[in-house]
Amino acid sequence: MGSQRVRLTTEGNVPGLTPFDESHQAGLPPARIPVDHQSSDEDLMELLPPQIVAAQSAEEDIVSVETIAERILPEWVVLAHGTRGAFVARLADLLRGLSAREMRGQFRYESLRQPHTRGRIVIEATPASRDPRGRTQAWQAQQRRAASALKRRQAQEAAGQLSLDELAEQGGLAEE
Amino acid sequence: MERQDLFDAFSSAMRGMADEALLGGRLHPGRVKSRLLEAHPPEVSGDGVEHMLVRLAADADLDAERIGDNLWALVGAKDVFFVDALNPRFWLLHSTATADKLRRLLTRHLLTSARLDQAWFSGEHLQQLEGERRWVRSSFSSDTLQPNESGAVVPRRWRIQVEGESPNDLLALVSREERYRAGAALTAVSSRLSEPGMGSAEVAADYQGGFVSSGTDFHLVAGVLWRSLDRYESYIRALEDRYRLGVDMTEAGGMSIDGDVALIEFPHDVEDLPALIANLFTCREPFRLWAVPREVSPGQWEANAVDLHVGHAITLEITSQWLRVLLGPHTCGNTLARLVANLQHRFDARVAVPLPSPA
Repeated sequence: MGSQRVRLTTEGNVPGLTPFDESHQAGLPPARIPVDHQSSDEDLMELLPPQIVAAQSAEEDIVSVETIAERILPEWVVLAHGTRGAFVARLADLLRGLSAREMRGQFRYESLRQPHTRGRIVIEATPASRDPRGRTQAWQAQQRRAASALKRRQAQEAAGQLSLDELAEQGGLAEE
Repeated sequence: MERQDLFDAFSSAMRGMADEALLGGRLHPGRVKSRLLEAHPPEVSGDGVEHMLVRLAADADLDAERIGDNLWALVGAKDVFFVDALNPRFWLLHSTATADKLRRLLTRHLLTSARLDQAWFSGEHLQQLEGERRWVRSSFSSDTLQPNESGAVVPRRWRIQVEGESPNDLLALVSREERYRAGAALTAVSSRLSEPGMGSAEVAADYQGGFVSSGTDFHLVAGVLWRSLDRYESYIRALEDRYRLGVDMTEAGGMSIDGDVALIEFPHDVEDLPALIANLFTCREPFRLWAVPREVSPGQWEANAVDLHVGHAITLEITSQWLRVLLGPHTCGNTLARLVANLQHRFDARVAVPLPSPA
């Protein structure tokens, strides 16, 4: 299934499955299952910085890698014990790398010996605990760190004309 | 203190009288300001609400005192704010303090918590405010999301207030005009309430869950507030019932996927999609969405986002014709309500997420 074409091919005569090849304008289908346990590291990495930022925003102190795996992997509920363990180990490696490089100082990775829980992340700093006046900039810094980890150029915000409300919120105007 | 006693005290305050003995004179005469809040206490009970309020109040240099059945007073040096949490998820905050003090408490201390958000009424909800309509206000600005908007299809900005006979009719007339309809977002409404033998009141409501009341009888206002709360709760729960995506294991060991993707079809094509993408994920109010979006196919973007109000991960998929929102199994419906209400005021007043009409 592509962004402009959807096609089904079958070998032989499969009851209920008639081959088709159609064009469409609906774009890519919704990513209801964005990754599975065999997805590439690159695809898994797309989902890890948002999980860390979500934990920072919710002011969570500690999140186990198993919890992160459960949150990003829809098929988690049906995975076998061994497959879960292997997946958690892959996430642990990716998280360890993030904590040592792009998101250093934001969280650290801690190994644990408990079964199924290969480790956990410990949030070391969060923009959520900052003074509200500097909080937005701190979240934007997290975007730059994540963009660096994802090897992506962060889109530049286009400056619009400030509304009177926004000026007032920023202390530029008194009450309207 | 009984709830009715508090409403009597508010009625007196609205009439310009204040009981100096009540809470050390901190309940000032004047209009009563109320806010509808959506809360996630650590435990859905009175104790959970109290635990949360004590922490929030301490941050704002206020003392939280339980004064009645699921009723709290946040007492400061000169002002008092009341929290009515009969419904532990949807609270009403009341005060006669100045609007500036209430705004400061909300923006600096309460709404900074990931456990608390304000209500986000759609235009449809505001139209349901009861009473005889006195005025309606419409405001719109495409500057936030489309700073280079030409103004040909969507007005750049406007702010109007219509007062007098049947003000809704005039706004409806404007919204039928092709060049204005995208900007005719309903921002606030005001109604007059009266009931024989009770008195009268005027209540104004805005799309951010704010209410201001004046007149002689707060009991009339309280009824309106409770019914607004009930309608809003139904809306949020309907969003969650329909759009939370979950996965369960079937008896056969397979996987069943529940929930719908929320599809918001844009009433007009986005003129500058990269600008909309860049400005939607700035971490700023009112959207407060964090993401590092990527173009997954020509003209289609994906954002694994975080709603910074509540710390929930959500996925948005965007083209110039539509926006899909994929909520997680526990994502709060208020996240979707906030997105819709703010797109109505910054992109197109006709934006809506499909749902059965609110009761």
